[in-house]
Amino acid sequence: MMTSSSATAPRLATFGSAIRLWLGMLLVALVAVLASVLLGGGDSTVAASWHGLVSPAETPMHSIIWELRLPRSIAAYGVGGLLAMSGCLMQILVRNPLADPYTLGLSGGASVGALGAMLGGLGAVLTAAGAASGALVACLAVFVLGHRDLLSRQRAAQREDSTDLILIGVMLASGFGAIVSMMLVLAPDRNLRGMLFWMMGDLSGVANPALPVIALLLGVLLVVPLGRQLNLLGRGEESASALGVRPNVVKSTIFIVASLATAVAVTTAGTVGFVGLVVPHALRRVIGNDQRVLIPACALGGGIVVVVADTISRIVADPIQLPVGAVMAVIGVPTFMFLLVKRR
Amino acid sequence: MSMALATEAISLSIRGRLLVRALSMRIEPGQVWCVLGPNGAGKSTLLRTLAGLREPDEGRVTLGGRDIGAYRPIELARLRGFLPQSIVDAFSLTVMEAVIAARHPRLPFWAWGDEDLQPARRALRTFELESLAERDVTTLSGGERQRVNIAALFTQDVDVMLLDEPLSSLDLHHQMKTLHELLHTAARDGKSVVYTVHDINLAFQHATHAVLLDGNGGALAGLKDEVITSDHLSAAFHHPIHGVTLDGERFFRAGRLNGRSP
Repeated sequence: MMTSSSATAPRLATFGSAIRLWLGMLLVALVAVLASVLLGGGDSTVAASWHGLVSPAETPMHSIIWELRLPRSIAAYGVGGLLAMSGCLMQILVRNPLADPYTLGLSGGASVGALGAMLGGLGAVLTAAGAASGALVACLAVFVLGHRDLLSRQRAAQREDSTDLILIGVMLASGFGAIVSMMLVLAPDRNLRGMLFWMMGDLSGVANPALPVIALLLGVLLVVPLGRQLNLLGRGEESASALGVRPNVVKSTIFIVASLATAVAVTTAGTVGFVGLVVPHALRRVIGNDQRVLIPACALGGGIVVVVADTISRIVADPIQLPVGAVMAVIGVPTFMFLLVKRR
Repeated sequence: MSMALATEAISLSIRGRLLVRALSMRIEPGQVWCVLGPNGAGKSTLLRTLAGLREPDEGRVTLGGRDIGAYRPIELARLRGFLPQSIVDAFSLTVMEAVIAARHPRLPFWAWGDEDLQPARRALRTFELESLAERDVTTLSGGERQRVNIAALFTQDVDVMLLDEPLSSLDLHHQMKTLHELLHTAARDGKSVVYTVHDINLAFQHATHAVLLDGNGGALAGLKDEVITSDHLSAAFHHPIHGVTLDGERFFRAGRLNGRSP
């Protein structure tokens, strides 16, 4: 028997190559978090920051590092990872690479909840609670309205798109957007700045930095075992179900994981834009569409992007802090255009 | 080992329109069935029902004596494969990735999926796709994509193969190649094959049995010589279809519509 397998062996995403990629990205992530902790505006030098990081003495720098920068950096990482993972899942769910975590109207619901709390003069904790409940209401509404797309075991026709689901999401988002506009118009001036910052994404007042990271870890652990089934789902529901996938179960699972991930992210940091759309998309272009590799890569890469952007937003116009979403877009748009034009 | 796929008096209707009434058939290992009928007669619906992807409106479908709805989807996917009429990929992937993905039902839950590439390589070789293995499926021509999906079905390695219009958009050589491989695997490995097709002559030459649907509930099933006759065909297609014998082989030709005899 002649086999020339070595000569014609097609390149496949093996488990080994995936692990190498993830470890490499994890290393970059650690470097990014360390850099964000060491870099600061004003008179704080890297050496002083390093001293504050490693020495146990109760210096002002020590508390800046351990009580402000590190929690913020960790929260930024978690939020970025959650949004990128959620964006990737939404893109698979609606079979459309233009989807992002907010496609199905979650950000609108969260905004209405959070801005409503701010209008009522409530504190940070209740604002977060408002965002969380708004996001969950939106998510529930999509699920109830779109359950035919998500749950049906037998499709009425052999439709291979999720137009209804996208339309439901877009309609909800428009409705919420209208309410948000009215709130902004009616809001007294002293509340306006905080509300705008919340909508552009704000990592300065993070109460619980561990939450997004834990949620990210749980989400990845839940979704990664579904990787092969998600790849099959990308080839259409009919062929996927013929290969033993239950599309309704898988779709509901990724809808719930993506929604909860987004809800945790917006509760932590407001509606940070851009990362959820662009990180999955850029990674698809670089490492391909194998969801087994892509989803953990999004979780790792989204965090890196937000940590870097947040660090820049802290130091570039110090003492003014720029909104992290805007900084990300300013850097990200040219980068993404470059990837787009340079076909792989 | 291989087991029979059978229907017991199934009726199929779509949106209130009855397509198939009380069809009973038994597909044994080694048999190759073609499904013929005019547009919208329910060929695809019948195939999806046989695949267990849709419940019959009446009657039941059994595989190995057990109701097909009683199988878990993953168990079913180890026994029967189904090629849909078209596969629209949401994201680009390589030919090799598309073919190897069909091993999913054979793999344990925690397996990554790159453990055994041999079945995929074999299928790529059979359907002359080796040189395309690295290509992006979404950039291939319609016929090439169809061959990739047929190769994926062979990679799945199932006892019952159900193909919805496998020959559409294939060139003549690959039509013959595909039919040859289907007959071959039925004869050699005892697989059973069911496919829908529009070319009556290709079907007649490459099948042991046939189903003929007329779209109004009428359904004939049985040995191809008994089902595919010019009377049955003319009635089902509402068009004069004549049988001729050339070099001892039976051919069917449709009458021209300008009134003159063919």
